[in-house]
Amino acid sequence: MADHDDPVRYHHDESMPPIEPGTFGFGGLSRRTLLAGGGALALGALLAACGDDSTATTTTGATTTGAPTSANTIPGSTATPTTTSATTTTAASRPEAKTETLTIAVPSLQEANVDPHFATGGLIFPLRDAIGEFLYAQNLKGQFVPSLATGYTLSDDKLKWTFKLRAGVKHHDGTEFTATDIKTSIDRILQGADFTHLANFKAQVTGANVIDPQTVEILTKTPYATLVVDMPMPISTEYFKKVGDAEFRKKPVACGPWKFVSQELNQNVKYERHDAYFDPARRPNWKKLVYAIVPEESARVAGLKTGTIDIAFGLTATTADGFKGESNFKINEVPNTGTGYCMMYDNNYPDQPSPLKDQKVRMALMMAIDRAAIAKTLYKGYARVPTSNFPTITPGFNPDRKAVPYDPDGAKKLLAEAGQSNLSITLNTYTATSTVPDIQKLAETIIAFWGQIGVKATLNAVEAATFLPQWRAKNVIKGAAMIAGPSSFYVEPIRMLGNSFFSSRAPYTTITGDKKLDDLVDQINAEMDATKRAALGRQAVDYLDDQLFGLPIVTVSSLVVTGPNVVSFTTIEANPYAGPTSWIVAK
Amino acid sequence: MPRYILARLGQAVLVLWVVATVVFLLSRASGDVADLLIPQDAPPETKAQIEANLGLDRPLFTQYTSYLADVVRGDLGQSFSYRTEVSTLLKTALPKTLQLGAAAFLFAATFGVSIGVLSALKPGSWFDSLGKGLALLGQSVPSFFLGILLVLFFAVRMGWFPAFGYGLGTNLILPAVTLGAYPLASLTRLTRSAVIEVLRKDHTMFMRAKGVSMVSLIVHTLRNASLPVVTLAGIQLGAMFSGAVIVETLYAWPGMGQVAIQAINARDYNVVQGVVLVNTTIFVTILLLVDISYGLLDPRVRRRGRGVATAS
Repeated sequence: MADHDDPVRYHHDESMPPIEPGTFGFGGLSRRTLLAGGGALALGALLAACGDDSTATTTTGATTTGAPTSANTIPGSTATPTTTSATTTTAASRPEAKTETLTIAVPSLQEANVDPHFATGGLIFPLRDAIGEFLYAQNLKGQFVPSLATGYTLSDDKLKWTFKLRAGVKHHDGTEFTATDIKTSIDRILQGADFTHLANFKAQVTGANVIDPQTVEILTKTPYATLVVDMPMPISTEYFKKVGDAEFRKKPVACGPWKFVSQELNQNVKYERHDAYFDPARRPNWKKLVYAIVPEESARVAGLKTGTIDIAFGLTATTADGFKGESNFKINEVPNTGTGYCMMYDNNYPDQPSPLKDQKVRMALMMAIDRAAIAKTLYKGYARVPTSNFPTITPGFNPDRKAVPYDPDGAKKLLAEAGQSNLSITLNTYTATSTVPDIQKLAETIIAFWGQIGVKATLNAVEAATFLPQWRAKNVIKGAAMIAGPSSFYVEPIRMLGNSFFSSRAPYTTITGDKKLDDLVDQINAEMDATKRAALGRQAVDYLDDQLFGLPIVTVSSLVVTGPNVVSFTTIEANPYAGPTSWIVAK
Repeated sequence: MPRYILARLGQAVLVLWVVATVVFLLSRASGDVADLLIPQDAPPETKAQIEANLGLDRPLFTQYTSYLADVVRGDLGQSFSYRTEVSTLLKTALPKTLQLGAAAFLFAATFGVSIGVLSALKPGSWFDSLGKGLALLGQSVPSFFLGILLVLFFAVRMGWFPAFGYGLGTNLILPAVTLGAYPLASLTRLTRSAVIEVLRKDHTMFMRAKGVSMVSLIVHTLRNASLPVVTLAGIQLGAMFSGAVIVETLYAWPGMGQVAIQAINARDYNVVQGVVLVNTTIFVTILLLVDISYGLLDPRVRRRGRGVATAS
């Protein structure tokens, strides 16, 4: 729990030393991270996290609702206790593996763009994280810590960022990483017509100036509080100029832990280890990595059992439970990776009356849902009852907040007080999303609970390709809407608030039209200090959780099954994706 | 015969034009691709930029004429999501679908026709009952269920074949059997009934009475029974080439089905149009070949063809 008291998700300091062992989670945590963690509870959690891997069942939260529990062992499994996040393994404990190749099977890599600048969605992130490296990268606790950068300073007018860069880092082609590579990346994105997925970055950044090989300036039009999080990965300038943009898209070169080898359309992407990767603690202990696209869950299971694949992502609870008792396999639970929200979408329309604009009605709808039962039955216990609209990893998350209790009688009373005893609404949703499994069933379950307090709800489930544009268009959906939010995306409060609850300016991201919330979002946008931004985020989310413009229904875990060639599977807290692979240990 | 083929070709072109038009309109009617491509934190002007980049800001008719002109030149446009030429995508995926479809067809045709003929030669025998039972099973078991059963037994339990993945060796067998099971059943049933019908004809009875050898009798019967079988086989072949989505998904077979699903989810108009157009072309070509084969198999069709030509 103390982890989430820490509002600082990244740190800057010009005097940042070279990466210490453990900065990213292996080999103990750095002194800086330790200090940033703050408080005795954090210390306790970290000490536990630094323990021997075989006994590392660190729990960073203690409440029964919404508590982030890293490093879970599946109850009843005979498998070795497994770790998922916020745990440590020393670099020395992972010698070079005998296993040469690890194959990771995923249901989808979207369009599988291998170019790190075309990571247009979460499912492609593993490819981005394999090939490239960020200036500030996430450690196991999800904090952004210096990686290719050693620190930065910000000008008084908040429009010029000066990054100091790490020396001695090599790209896959053997060239040295310098400030020019950052300029190359930024110029490419600013000048390229294809980079509309980075529209926010393009709208705010005007360019980059190389001061010296280890210093680069980034210029912005307006104060850009989340620049560090949004910075693109640098690429090899020499290679990019040599092969051109089109060829680079097919065969990228950067300075990440894996070198691109080949890609076969809708089959696989193959890499070999970048032996000169600059951070030994995050260098994989095996030589070759294959991401295999296996859409069908049963095929991934068969692949695991036949040894064709070593790690399977995207498994449902029922399927993962099928591996219980099999000594060659480990079931790894990555907690808190996504939350299913029921958004009170009608608040989007300020001029149209709706019963959902009454807080009592929203509270009644929340109290009517037995969320613990949903977590236990629909998700077989691989889920928790969220206490807040913020995921546990979002700066500003309030660990002291209690979950709204299941109280159908109280809900009926509230509805009666609001004069809505015969409430009738539509619940819109999509039929499937990778973030929260069975989202349509979840919506159907909610409707059943609402029915028990006399609310007549109609389900309107459509394909994601239809639902998401409607969601963003803010003039189609009426009533309420179920949507899944991937926790790892919300590393900044503004991403959560701005994407789902903000009503001014951004045209595709609005739900509330609430002035107080909008003002807070404006303040967060303008605040450059991460700690203060998190404090504002806390204010905003407390207000949001009181108002219940969105009902956080259930927070799910991702389930990953590993085969006999994998010693341990560890990933960034709340990360549902199949990369980065830096903390996986091969046998 | 040439005029007959030309007439069929003309019809095929007409079908392709209609399909291209319908797909063009339907894909745009499903919504704006810019809405899917635009990031949530993008400034308002981004949508217009995306539409301009993709040429979607032009009038619909201009987009349509431009699309048709490009198609005639063999240019299927750029994929919005894959960020490459659609033709490049399809060139990669199509051969894999054709390989799977061809293998499945070979399996279905070989066993379907053989079992059907043998069943028809001894109706009511144990072999006939077995054939009918298999046909019933093949037609009633869904391909995704059959596929999972085959994987569990032959890949996981016995370890004889890979559970999934592309390859022309052992990788091909389970997907081909799964895809070919339904057409096999259909061909078995149709071949059986067609052969039985021919065997009951007067001319066949006469041949049997005259003591014609069994081999000659089978050849004669097969040729006479072949028209409905060839028709069904053609349709099944087209369906296997264009409708293998479930089997491709089940076995992670990187063919056209996978590309189509990805494109539909991303509302990638150009890829969807390309996939449908290519599949339609395959289907139309196969049906054209089936039509032409009628003329080769049945002299009456040739004569009718000539008659039509003369009359026109």
